[in-house]
Amino acid sequence: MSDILVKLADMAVTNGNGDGLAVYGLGATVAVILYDETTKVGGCLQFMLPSSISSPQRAREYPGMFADTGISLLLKSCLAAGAHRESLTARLAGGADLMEKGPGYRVGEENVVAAKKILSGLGIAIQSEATGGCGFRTVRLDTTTGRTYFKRHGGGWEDLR
Amino acid sequence: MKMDNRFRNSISSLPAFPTTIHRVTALINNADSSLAELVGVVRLDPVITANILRMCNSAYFGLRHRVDNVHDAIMYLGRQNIVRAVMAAGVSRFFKDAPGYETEARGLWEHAVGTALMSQLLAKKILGREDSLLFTAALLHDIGKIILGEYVREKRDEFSRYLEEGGRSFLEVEEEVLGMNHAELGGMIAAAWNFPREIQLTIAGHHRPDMLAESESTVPWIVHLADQVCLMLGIGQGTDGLAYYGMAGAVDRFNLSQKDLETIMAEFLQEFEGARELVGIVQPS
Repeated sequence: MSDILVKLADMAVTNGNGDGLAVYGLGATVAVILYDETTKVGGCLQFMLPSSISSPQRAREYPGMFADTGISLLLKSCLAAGAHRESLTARLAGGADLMEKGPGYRVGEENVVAAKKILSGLGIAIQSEATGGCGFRTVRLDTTTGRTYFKRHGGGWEDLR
Repeated sequence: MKMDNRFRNSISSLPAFPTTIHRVTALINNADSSLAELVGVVRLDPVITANILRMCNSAYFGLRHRVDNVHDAIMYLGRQNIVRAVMAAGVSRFFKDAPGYETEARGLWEHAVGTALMSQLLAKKILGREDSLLFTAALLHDIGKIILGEYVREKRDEFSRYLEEGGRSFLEVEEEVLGMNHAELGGMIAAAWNFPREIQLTIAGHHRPDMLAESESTVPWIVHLADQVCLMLGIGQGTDGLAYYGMAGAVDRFNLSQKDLETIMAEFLQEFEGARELVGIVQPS
């Protein structure tokens, strides 16, 4: 079994065939992973920006670019692959930001806040996360067990908490 | 041996920058030069010739016909694109050959190309035009890392300790641990390679364009902004991550809105996809 790599503004869903899902090098972007342990269906989205409100056309071209359109499509795709709505749980990773001396442009933080709000609205619990800070992260879901790991650049794998 | 001398020695032991590239740039900037002269100079360097043809046929340049010779490549691409293709072909070899850390070298190159593409999108928005000097400066902005990366690796534990403590940018940690930062060192490499002063200054100041008293140019600011946006998008991976002071200064200077940046990021996605040839460029054997 191999890992399916999820690129920027993209998503992938696997229906319990044992493939892993991975995102390399999350910066301010956020990986939203949905997993249903009863069916082993897992899905992963890497979105870039918190909201599609000001960019409806972009959102049609790249629904995976934004938290709102991305998570909604990820959920639909997981359900279409056989996941049960009530047993889906979420994991989050990424959302790092540049350092700021004053008020700044904190897309990473805004992305994490947006993802949490949307998931909460959908009634999907966040099981674990590795977000914030200012380092790149790689994240991986093992769809056979639901375990989700991440690593920092040059570091070893750690479980998401 | 003092660190300073080690860096100086490392710079002097780098291979010379291909003279073909400076000659091509000079010819392109000289309105009186002919296509035949340009073709003649490019043909002198087989690595650059091969790479120009590969890039010319890549989606990034979007030509309809397959091009199989330098004359046609230059004619179809136009002079500004030739600077880009030649520069990317010439600069990539230094990233590929960065000793001992291949995966980092690939990440650095990907980040270099990403930043160069991003700089053009920003230039279109901010200046209303693309700019090949800016492209070159952006492509080279992290060139200091091809030398400094090795020293960072040697002192990895010390770097991790400082970065985990927080409160310091990666640039400050480089200065603290190594007595030199990658931007300053990059400016010195660009000087040793005879790049124009504006490019040297841009590289040296790409994290602190506000400190470049000498220049009123927008080039350092645009490279700075392009670099930061690429870091946010995770284009090219490094130990430094996003541990740099942010881009509020540049965003304000150019009066960019969040929507402007979103639009640029979305355009970037398409461009970067089309530029895989530039990222995947390899040395012909």
